[in-house]
Amino acid sequence: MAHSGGVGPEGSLGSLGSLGSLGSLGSLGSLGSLGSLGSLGSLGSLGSVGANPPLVAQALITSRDGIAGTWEPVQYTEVTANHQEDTAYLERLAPAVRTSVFALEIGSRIGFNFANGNAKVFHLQTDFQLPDTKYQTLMEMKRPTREIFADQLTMVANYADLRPDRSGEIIAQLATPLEFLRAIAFVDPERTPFTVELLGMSLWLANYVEMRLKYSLSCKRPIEWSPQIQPMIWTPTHGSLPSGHATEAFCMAQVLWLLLRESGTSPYSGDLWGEMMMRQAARIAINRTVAGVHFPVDSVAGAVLGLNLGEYLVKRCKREQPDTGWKFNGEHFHDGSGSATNMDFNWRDYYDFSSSPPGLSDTTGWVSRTNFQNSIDDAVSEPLGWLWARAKAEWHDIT
Amino acid sequence: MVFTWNEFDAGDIVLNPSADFRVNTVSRSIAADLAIPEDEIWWLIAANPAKRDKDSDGYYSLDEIWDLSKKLGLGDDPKKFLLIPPEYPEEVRGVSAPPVISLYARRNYINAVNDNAVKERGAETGIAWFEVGPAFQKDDIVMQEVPFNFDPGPPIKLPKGSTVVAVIDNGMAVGHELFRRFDAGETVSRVQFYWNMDGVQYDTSNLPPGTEPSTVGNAWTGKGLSDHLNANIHNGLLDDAAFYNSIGATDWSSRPHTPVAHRLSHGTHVMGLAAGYPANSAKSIDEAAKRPIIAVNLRTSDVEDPSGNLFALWLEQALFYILGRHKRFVIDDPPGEVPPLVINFSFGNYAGPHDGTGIVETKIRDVLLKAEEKCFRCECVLPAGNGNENRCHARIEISGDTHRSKVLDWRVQPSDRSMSAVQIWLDTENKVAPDYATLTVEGPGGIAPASVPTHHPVSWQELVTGAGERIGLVYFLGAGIGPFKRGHFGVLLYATDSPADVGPFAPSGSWQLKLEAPQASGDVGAKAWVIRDETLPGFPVFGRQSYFDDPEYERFYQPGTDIFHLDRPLIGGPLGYDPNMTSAYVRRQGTLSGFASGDKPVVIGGFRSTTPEKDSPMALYSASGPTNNPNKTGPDASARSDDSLVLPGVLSAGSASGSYVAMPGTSVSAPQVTRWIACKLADGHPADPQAVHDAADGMDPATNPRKPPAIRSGGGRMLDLPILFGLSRWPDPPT
Repeated sequence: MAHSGGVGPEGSLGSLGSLGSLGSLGSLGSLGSLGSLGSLGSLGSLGSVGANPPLVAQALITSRDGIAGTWEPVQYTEVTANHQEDTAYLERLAPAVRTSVFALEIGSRIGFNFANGNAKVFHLQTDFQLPDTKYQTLMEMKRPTREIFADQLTMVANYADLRPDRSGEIIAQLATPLEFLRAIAFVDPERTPFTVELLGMSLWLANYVEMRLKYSLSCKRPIEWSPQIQPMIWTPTHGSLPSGHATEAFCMAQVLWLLLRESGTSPYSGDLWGEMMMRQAARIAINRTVAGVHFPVDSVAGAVLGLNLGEYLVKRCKREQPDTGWKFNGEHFHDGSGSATNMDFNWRDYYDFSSSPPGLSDTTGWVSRTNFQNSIDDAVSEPLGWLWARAKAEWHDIT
Repeated sequence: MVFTWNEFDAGDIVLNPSADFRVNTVSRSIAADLAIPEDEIWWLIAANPAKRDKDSDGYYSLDEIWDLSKKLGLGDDPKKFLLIPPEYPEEVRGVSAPPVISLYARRNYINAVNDNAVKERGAETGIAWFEVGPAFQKDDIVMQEVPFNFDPGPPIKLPKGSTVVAVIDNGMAVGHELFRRFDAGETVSRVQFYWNMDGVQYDTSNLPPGTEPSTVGNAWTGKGLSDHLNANIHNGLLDDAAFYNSIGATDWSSRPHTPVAHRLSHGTHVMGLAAGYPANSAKSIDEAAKRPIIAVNLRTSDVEDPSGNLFALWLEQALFYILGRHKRFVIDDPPGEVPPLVINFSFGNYAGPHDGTGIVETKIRDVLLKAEEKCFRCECVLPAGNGNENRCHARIEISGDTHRSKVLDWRVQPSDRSMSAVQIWLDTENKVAPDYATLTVEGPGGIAPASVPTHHPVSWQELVTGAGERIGLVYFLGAGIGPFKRGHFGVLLYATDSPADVGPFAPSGSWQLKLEAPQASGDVGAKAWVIRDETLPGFPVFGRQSYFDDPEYERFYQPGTDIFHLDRPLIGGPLGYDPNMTSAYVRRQGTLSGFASGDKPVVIGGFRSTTPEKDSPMALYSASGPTNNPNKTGPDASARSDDSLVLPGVLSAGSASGSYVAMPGTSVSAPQVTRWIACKLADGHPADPQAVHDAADGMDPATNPRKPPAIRSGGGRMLDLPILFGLSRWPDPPT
């Protein structure tokens, strides 16, 4: 069975590789190789980007023999040492190498715990001066009851009605949401390479967190509930809630939207840009229900998680201290009327354009906000700040 | 499985065998769909009330029909088996009923009314004829005995030059921008009344603001729609999914098929052509305000299965709603004037008497006559139908001394979840002798032949399994029985397959239908139509169209065929007209939609644009006259239904706001003429079938050598109608 390339059901990160098909990125160090992040063990392969053709290596050996001459020792004073921990160095790194830097910057501050049905994702506050650390709850998630999933299953069956209409989108969306977001904002690997990197890291973070939550909550897929769902694509082996597509799409949409706003460039200040990005993310999420691989409530959980992570990442990029956590309680995903819930996913229930910046809202009984109890002067990430600044500059008008 | 025929004695036969087949045989699969026992199904029936006495025009009233039902041996509480739609107000119930009425009833009532065709039972039941349509669970309908009582609000004032446009269809995305306008900076729905039979039902004792009560689905006022539009416009754009959810038009927890959630929905497209105006176009703002819309969205489940004409049986209720809401409009200047009304019904069927006597044709005539009585101008527009190439019509002529029979090879498809049926209508309007003609039916797989004579009033044989389960019925219904002028044979077959356990099924394959007539009968002519039972575009798999298989029928052009002079196919290409002097019994001529054969409605065919425009051929699918009605020998005109050979269909509204999609068919040519009629009526000009015919003749004069024949295009192709939304498909649009 082929689980390769961009068509495997689990290769959402790997499918960033589709950017490689755009051409020049391949030669720059290939974001496509981000695909290998799907399997963490292969991070090392990032360094092997299309280099060292054997014929050249052979030639360089003989060439050196021919011209190097007698060895001349070097005095240490002749060479100046680089500054350490200097973002200027990031410029000289291949994008794929930077990815590893950023991944540690982000991932080293994420913690996880599961107890009593609660899956918790933490942000690790660190103060390197004291030194001291403290875990703050960034996301808390509880899965819905079986009754809720059973109700939701009928919606999954009914949504199958849209499969002929949406099949083209569903297949294309097996890859990352980037192709759909770049139809809204002018993202292009050659025009906005740092924005692509930033979105790549958004995707990385979403995937990094969502997979751990899925594993922990272990929610059965629609195909495990009924033999009549018969999804139109392969059902991924990981759990149903939260929806990875919803998490990734909303996370990337939120990061991109906040980046555009941050640029201060007209017309990106208009909410229509955010409206379109959130609609696109919602469409991607709903299409997974149409395909038969997700319950609507999976999209709810995914959207909340994705928006949360997007806001979190932007804060870290902007050298601001994260200060907000969110809780999704799936057991409360009902209208209070009793057994049947039959509630669909509507992203507007979780998004507030009027807040500053626009983002998650807690108007429902199953999504709530918590504030960090800040006791530590959290250290900021300079590499992430560097990436944000570079990406932001790509959206300035040329005047 | 072994099947045998049962012949019925005269005393056991029923008034309407099709109705009997629907409530006692097709009910097997319907009950499974609804997950209730067959006896608990409620059916919508369209009925012709009986006359109080033969020489008067007075019919039994609804109240009398209610009272008579107590004497049918079903108990004295009609609530258990009969419901008069609460839409009928008190003042309608006590007086002579109109020629067509609607009732909701259970099977025991239907069987009691249908019992014994030999005896005239109008005085016992109050009903002269009826047809059975959509089926419901009890909870699907508001079981309310007393009429709905609600405040209709003040009259809606329209500017001078207004015409109310009513559209009856399915899948109507009423929130599309083409159906909105801006009024003092506010978004306003141009749909002033919207009965969504698919809609989520609300508690009639606690209706949401902006709704009115309805027996089925929900009904919105323009104010209600406007409020929900404004509540769901974010950042200047309508959130379509949220809007349709908020007005109860979508509900994924209970609806397996939701047309307005699809990219293309039939009703949206049709309504866009009939009455859509861009909300932000200065050019159209004035006209848009003068074209308020009344929309009736038929139940998707009834449109899904065309085999029972279920959508057509809604027509009475739909028209009653439209006329009732139309009453609320008034022209502001001059004050008190009633605005004209044009109704578009872009649905067609294949079968029917084709002489204007069907229940749909009767209802349309009734409405248009009523408008004449009330002195407001009203027109109804129907498509010609798309069955020209479907091999669902046959012409039978028996004459001479020998070969006094004709065999039709009727192909019933496997995996067909809907009923299949053929009607063979005699040409003669006279009551005929029992030995005038005989229909013999022989099924595939060794099913023995069975014959039904032209025995008046009814004769029939049923095909049953060894266990007595019925899977087929052959009948003859004499001239003058029910509303029909002519006698006809019917062959009805149960589904050939279903994913549910609702067998036994009818065998698919070749069914031989032999019509024979003795020499004493002289020349015998008849026309046969297969009922429509295909799966409609965009719908889940359901029906599969049965058809006649005639070896003499030439679907495709071969050199040497004496083709009609306007046919110009490539070798192997499909023929649009019957070849000259064809010997085939399957014909393109005579395929006009069965609904479209009355005198009164405007009937529109479709043509495919080409360059030059005046050479445009008729669309291959656009159905053809003649009919059995000498006053309606074909469509009245035709309009563009395909932009070109490679760009089929014309553009109009897609389901999502801002989207435009292409759809072909006479369904899309009809509403373009509806729009044209709305303008004519608004300007005080006539726009009846004759006026449309004459206008088409003016746009497509007889001097044009490629003008299609009248049986395909009536007065001609309306070449001057504007291209409404599809200019981008025309590098050099016709002028």
